[in-house]
Amino acid sequence: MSDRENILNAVRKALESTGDAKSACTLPELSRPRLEGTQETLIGRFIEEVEAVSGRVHRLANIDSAARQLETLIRAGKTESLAVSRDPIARAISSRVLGRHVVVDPEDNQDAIAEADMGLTGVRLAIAEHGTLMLAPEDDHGRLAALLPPHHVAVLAVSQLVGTLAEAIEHLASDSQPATITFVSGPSRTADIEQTLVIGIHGPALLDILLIEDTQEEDHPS
Amino acid sequence: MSTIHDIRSSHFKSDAREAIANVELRGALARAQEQSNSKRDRAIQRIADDWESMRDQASAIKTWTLENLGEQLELFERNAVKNGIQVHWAEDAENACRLVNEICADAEARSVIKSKSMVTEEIGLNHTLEAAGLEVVESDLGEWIVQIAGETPSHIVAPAIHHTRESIHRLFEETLGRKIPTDAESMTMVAREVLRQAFLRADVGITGVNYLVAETGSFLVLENEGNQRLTTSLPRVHIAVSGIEKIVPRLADLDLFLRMIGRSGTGQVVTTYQNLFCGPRRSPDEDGPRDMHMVLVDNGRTKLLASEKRRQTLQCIRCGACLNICPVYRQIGGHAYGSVYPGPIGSIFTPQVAGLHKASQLPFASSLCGACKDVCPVKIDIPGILLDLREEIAEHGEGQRDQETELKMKRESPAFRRWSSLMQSPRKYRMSGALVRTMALIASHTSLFDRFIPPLSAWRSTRSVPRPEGGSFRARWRRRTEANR
Ligand code: SF4
Repeated sequence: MSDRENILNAVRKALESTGDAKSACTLPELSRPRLEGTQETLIGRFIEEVEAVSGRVHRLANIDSAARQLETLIRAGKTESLAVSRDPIARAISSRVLGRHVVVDPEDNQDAIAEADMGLTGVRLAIAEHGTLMLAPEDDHGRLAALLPPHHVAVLAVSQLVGTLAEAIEHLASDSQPATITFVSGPSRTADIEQTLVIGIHGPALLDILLIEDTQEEDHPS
Repeated sequence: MSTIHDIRSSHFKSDAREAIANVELRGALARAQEQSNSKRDRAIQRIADDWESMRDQASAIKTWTLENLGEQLELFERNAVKNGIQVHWAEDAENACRLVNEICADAEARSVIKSKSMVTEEIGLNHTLEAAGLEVVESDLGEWIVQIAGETPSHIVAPAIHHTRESIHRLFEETLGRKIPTDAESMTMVAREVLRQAFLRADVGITGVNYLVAETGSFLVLENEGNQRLTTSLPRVHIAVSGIEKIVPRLADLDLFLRMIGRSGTGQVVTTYQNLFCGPRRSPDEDGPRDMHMVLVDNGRTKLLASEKRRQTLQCIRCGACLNICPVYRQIGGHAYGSVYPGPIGSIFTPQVAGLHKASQLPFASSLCGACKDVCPVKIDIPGILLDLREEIAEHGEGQRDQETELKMKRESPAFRRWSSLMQSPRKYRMSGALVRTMALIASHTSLFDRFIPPLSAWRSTRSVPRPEGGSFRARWRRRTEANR
């Protein structure tokens, strides 16, 4: 017999021996927590939670102001190269910024992204209650851009913000599930050396979120 | 045969004595425990009103799932296969290791990168892979420290908790053969550099699992460092290894468990990263693994299902809270337990999985203070199961215990039998608690107790009685939550 059959048989035999207790037990209904309040409340909570885990949120009116903010971050971090995912908003913003860009494309090799100082990506949605970004790499091919460079900048439209993790999971259940979903709450951290918190170990050490009110592309004078 | 790799729990007594004599270790443990407990308290106070009902729900979900384990596992398998995940089953440690080895051989792998996983420690996977000529690198900082020190983890969440900064610094300089700065931040950055190279050359990434989701055939793994994201993004092949008990029925159940596990374990509201895997890479993502494997491991777990009480052991979500609160763990650390699962959960898991004869002293490595049961997010009755195991050892003595335990049994069993009856009734338990606290207060000040009051004198000869701090844990807990409202 295969290991599979042996295990399943052993499970069945063990549980049959205590058969009668089983009928009494039911699977509990879940309380699905929601955040009360207006969109402004959600935004406030989101910013508070992101900051509590050492991330930063920048509230921006539109793509132009987001581009200016990105430029400020690039200058402040002495960023030399930027890896940009295929997210259309991320592309629109980065196209307004001068500098050496690694635009992530299929032909691109891992090494170019690994050497970039900053990665710019979109997100599937964001969760206010824990200050969480939900990344789905197959949306914008941003898997490595959000992971390898020491600085991750994520682009988020206000309309992508939901209140609770329970809501985000409901979204997932209704869509077809992407191959990988990563929930990100703040930059990478460790406390393995004498419980001393160190921000930035394997993942990005800096997390900046560009929270944009209006992501419509206006006609841009070139 | 189910077994736990490198088990030496039959040396518990001598190992514990050695650990107690190690001043550096005890200092490191005390500091670490205090810090994790106060972080946990703060994280839970924020949701104090809901915490108890969350525990009830989490426990009920786990109970239901274990009672329907066969169907849930088959459902998981069906859905996972639909998602393109290759599902394998392993009855014991040996078969699990062989399976992983074969997958690596098929992938023509030379280098393997791992992110923290207790079940792979349990089955001794690294050992097998290295014997087959593979390079195996642990990428979680704590695990890496333990790996280069040639040790096993001493805590299920913080593997290197027994090390001080100085000892880690010594280890890094010796291993890397160069001078490095002594502060935690610089040492961490050195580890980042060294391990990044290991990620880039790895052919296979191996992770554990926190939750298998039956209804979607996907699985979730938690972390803080980003090493697991790298482990599952850069190598061509991802192999996940999971105990069969790690299953939850619904995707929506994750919400509850994710809200609890961070708070319980590290005092975080949620862990930094939570990775949900639902199959190998899909276009247009060209970077994920091409192949994804799931190895479902029994290794003795099905033996625990037959008893309703003992089955609870399998509800464990490996948060580490019971280790952090345990006064015995605080004194001796993880290694003295002689098993990759130390502390209160280890004292019930190890003897049941590896066999009582391999770890007959562990069920006695507890003062039955009940703190572990009070903090456990899934409400496992650890003291109750410990008593149950003690009883079995007492009844089926021959062959189930070594000489050391035999002797202890003779001295302690009448007292513990009375204790056992007290534990069955909450009212009697509370009353006896007050009595014991009063007696302990006297005992901590005087040695009279030791000499004149058997059987406590026998018990006391190997233990120092802790001075009770103002009232029962329950009462203190209540006061603390009230003070913070
Ligand atoms: S037994 Fe409970 S407290 Fe201990 S690790 Fe498991 S879930 Fe956490």
